Amino acid sequence: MAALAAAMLVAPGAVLAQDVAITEGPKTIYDGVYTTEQADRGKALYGNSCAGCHGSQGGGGPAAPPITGSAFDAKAGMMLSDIVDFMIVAMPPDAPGSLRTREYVDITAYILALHGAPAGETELGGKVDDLADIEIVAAPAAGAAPAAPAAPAPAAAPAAGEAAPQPANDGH
Amino acid sequence: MTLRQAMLLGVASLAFAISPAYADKLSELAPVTDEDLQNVEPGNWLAYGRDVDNFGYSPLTQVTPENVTQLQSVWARGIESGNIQTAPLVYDGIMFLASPNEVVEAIDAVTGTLLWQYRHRVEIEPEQLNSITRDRKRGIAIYGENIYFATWDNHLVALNMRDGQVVFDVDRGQGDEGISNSSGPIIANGVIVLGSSCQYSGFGCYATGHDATTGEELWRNYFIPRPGEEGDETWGGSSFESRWMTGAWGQFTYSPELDLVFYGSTSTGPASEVQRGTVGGTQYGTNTRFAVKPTTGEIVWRHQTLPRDNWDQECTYEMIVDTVNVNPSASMETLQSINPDAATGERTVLVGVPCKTGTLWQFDAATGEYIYARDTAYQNLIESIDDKGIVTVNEDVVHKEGGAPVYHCPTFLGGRDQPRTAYNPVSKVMFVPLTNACMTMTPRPDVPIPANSYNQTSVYSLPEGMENAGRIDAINIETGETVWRYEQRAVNYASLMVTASDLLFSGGADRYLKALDQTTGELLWQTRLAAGAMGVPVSYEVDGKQYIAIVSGNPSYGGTLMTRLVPEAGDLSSLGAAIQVFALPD
Repeated sequence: MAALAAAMLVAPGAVLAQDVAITEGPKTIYDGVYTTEQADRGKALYGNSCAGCHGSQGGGGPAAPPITGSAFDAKAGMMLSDIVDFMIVAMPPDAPGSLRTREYVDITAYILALHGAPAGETELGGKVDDLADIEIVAAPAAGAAPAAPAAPAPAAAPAAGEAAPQPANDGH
Repeated sequence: MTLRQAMLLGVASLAFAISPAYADKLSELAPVTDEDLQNVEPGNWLAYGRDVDNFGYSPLTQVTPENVTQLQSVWARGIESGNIQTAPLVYDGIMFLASPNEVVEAIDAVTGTLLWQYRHRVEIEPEQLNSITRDRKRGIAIYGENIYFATWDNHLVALNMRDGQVVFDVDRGQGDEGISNSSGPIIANGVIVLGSSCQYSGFGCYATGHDATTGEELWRNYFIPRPGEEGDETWGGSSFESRWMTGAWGQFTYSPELDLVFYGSTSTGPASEVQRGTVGGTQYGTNTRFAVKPTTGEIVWRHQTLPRDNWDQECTYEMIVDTVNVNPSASMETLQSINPDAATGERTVLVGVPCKTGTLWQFDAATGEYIYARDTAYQNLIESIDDKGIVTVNEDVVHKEGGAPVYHCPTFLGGRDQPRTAYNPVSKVMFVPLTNACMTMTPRPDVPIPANSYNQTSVYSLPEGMENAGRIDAINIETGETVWRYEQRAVNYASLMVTASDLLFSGGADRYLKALDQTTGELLWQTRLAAGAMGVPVSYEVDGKQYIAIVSGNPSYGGTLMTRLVPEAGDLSSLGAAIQVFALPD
């Protein structure tokens, strides 16, 4: 009985850890370092723990800075592990470290998605050290999109320019 | 029926009634009338600010400056962690409490025993909802046999106060586009009135009035003018589709004598008027105080207390009505202006601190005639207020082309923010929760979208020469003179409550529940809670015993201010969120 209970407790972790390859560096955040599935997991966590202050699209709010777009570009030169390290120590402000490392990493995947870094075939690893070789770089220039597969969309931030009303988000 | 059976059955209804003894107690509750809300029994607390006056004033006197140090915990009951900032209601020994995750409960106010619990089901995807308002539920209302509250997904819900069963659930719409409500409804002449928040939506919000029996919407007042409507020309030629976010999320107040509801609107986004395409525009409808008829929504008067907002100053907070001996002093601290044509002497005034600027305003409540205005916390946004109450903003802190940083005071979190004022109608002194803070704000170069709100980055700091972030000012509203000022290093950012026995209670982002001497501002007693003391302190009496209650939980923006201004002074926690109740020993 006890063994069964233990197995049940372990099971969710086993599911999470199924056969998904882990991104190994050195890479940049534009090299497809996370998967869509990972960002989806992060989305729910982000909604619960981050969006209240940073906004649903990471654009910031009255009480917290933006964490995507130009604000994320400004972190160029840092490694993704630095971001996760900071989150573990300081976020959310009233309960820092209250999530598991893997959850902080999934949130990071979602932030990358919000920021416009493309998803790929491998997940961000579940340990801080797994992210130590993934560098934050500024968005590739619009025209000079490097090797990326014919990407008409990425940097130009096309239709959003004209006030396409977006699902809204926080506030008082 | 056993408790367990009741709970199992409750799955279907989302509410469960517990033991027969308590069922009897609940069934004995008499329907609450308009008269009850205007003359609340001393032991009860029947609205956000206790009664329709919304003063946050309890007539109870058992706890005094002399014995307050003997206060001790009598019961507590855990709630889920969240940004709860609510005022529990207490009616004849039953507490009605809103708490995080859309929970409303009835609790025995003496023992802390749960009587029924209701959970509103939110079925919209989280990313479509307004991500902050969900847990706040600052105010809930009681009237007739119902408890009324507004939900995260923008419903107005009525529950039967005796068993928690849903009487009606009205969807006001667009909850999936970010419309919500954080301060709850009030009761005004039998009409339920409430505002809405769509601070990060690509459109503007409204206030509504509803039939108390059916929830049917009787009227709806929007704030942002459409093309061709009055004030359209004040939006700098911007398209209607780019006019975002203005709503009314602060607490409303009703005056039975005047049959007027008073509320105020918020600002707009993005922060920089260059980015929103309204350069120089005063933006009619934003940051405006309204007096409206509750049954029709007819606007009787309006006054814009901050035009051309570039700093999210949101003039939406509660103001109160009282009849006082108007006598503004030319020597009052940080005076903006006095209307020389406004009569002095006994007048019924609307007074309060409606905006984050911290500016205290006084108007004739019936006509809107401007009487006087003065500042509280340091601000550099308003250049002047003329003797008719017309505001000119400080051009130096308005955002310009090029997006250079602007240093301004207060911050996006006030001056004052949502923590409520308290007012003693005997001494005519208003107590104002404040934060000393400034910020350097830089518009982001990113293309503005509503979900990115103000599209800016900011760095907070204490105002030059100041060392204390937390502050409470006591101001005589007849003269405008400062009576005293309390300051502390830690951010306070918490709602206030006064009693007839000269006590002022305050929560605190620093986790302290505090009692100050109302006359002197001296800190008399404090006790540290597990989590931030962020709810509205209330006081009630059952069987001759006075209780002080407050909800604790997530420090919310109080935590943000603490970490940005005085990180060493704060010890933040949202773990151990609870309703906590104190009383003197038997």
